[in-house]
Amino acid sequence: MTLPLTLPLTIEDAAEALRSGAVTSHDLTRTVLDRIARLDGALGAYVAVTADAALAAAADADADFARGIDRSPLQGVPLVVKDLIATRDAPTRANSEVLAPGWGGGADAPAVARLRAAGSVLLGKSTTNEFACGLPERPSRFPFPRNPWNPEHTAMGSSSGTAIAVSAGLALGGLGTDTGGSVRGPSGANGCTGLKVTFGRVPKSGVVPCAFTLDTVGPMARSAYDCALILDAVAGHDPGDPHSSPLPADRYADGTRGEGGVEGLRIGVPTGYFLDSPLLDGEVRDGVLRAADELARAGATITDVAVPYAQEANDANNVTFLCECFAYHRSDLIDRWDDYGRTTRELLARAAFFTGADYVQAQRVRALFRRALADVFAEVDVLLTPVALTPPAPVATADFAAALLRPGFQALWNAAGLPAAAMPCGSAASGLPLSVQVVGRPFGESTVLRVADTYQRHTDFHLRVPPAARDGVAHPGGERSSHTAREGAG
Amino acid sequence: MTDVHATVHALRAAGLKLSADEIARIASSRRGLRAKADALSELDLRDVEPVDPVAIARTRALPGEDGP
Repeated sequence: MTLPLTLPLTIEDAAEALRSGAVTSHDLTRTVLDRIARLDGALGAYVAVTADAALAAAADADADFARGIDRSPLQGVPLVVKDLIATRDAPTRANSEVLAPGWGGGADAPAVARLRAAGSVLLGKSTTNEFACGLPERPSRFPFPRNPWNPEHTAMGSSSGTAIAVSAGLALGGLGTDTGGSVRGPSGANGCTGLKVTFGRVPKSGVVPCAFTLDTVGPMARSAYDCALILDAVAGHDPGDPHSSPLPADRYADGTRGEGGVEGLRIGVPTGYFLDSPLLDGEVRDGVLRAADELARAGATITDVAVPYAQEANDANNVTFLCECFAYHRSDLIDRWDDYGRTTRELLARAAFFTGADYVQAQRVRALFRRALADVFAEVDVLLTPVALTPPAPVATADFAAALLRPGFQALWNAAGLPAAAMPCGSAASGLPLSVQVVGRPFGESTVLRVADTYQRHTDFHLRVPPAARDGVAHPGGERSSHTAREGAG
Repeated sequence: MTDVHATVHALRAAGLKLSADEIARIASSRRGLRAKADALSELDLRDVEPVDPVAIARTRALPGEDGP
């Protein structure tokens, strides 16, 4: 094999190439490491690159292939893990000066251990906002994450590093965490696919807590099918997480492809708080409606639907997030205020505005919302909503605290504990990605991913690669890739 | 009480001592955040059990539905 090889766009393609002998894990990993060395200085996706460990894991994967051992479709595939999740081969820092050195005890979080057991190659740790809370700040000893579609626009957060890495071909997939949208927001902003799982589906032990009744760990990749492949590896019970679900995990990749697409599926498009919001950008709204049309052509039934208490659920999530996160950090905020980033500490301090009664009422609102959703999901199988009000905003205007006061389409699903996926659905006139969200019933990840996969088999938005990262990525006519990079509107 | 005074009071109760600039920035969102919390409190949910995060991770059913 002559390096650099042409990078497969998806895990699915890479898995096929690895098994056909068209590529080795070593060469695939070496190629991605070369791309990281070439591109990441401008993108800031990685806070730590564990090249030696990655190449050793790639050698192990190649040796297994040679012996006929096939652990999973992830075997030999280079992935990245958000720097909120403990790994044994790199420190966990949560983008903060405050987190105790050695947090995680030098051991893998269960989700990471499962990725390794599946044979994947871990490239390092990806950039996050401090404790998954604040905004990227300068100066900082941590990288400033840049949107690969336009570095002057936000990459969102807090799983920005994983999203940037996937979008720019600096990893084929990875893990993020989502407490109020931190998998879906950056997936949408950077043009990749990300799944916030049902609360409890993937163990959050070994993950720096943000808000303990909301936190989830979820897959991020270029396609919904790739997310299913990652979820197959990481889902399942873990006794170390008191919120880990004892329900058996589905076979997500099979469920994503195996049930006839969306034929006969009932998809609700919520109006009111969602599509009728006066703050919703017209291009975003059109993108959602075009996605609904595409799914209708694929056989789904599309209906308008009302989602009661959406605003209240979103606000309840914000109250819960701020109170729980403040409770975790309070003693450090008192003793080490200046060691936190400015936006992180000033965001967390706003929890002081809330009372104990506010927190309990927020938990009642979450229960009320789940009760209301039972009626909604009696009529539809999934919901289709915007991911964000607008395409990613200029970095200079990003304001986390102001966002708490605006309508939001992500946090309310954390409040309810439901699965929700973000996926690309076009490009704005500016060239920035547009994204749509699919929301499902509790533990309905297979259905959510099936809807997303069906959409992606009828469109190519998820295969678009930012211009600055396109060199060296599979393109139309590529020999190994069943998927081909599209140039997009930018 | 002004937003700044209310913010200083709340932050002190939480054990935080901030600079005037920081207090001013945080105070600017106090009214909006309190309005949202107060709006939630206007819902009469005294007889609604708060959500149980352990319980919701143990069932595929939403409230009122059958199933594991």
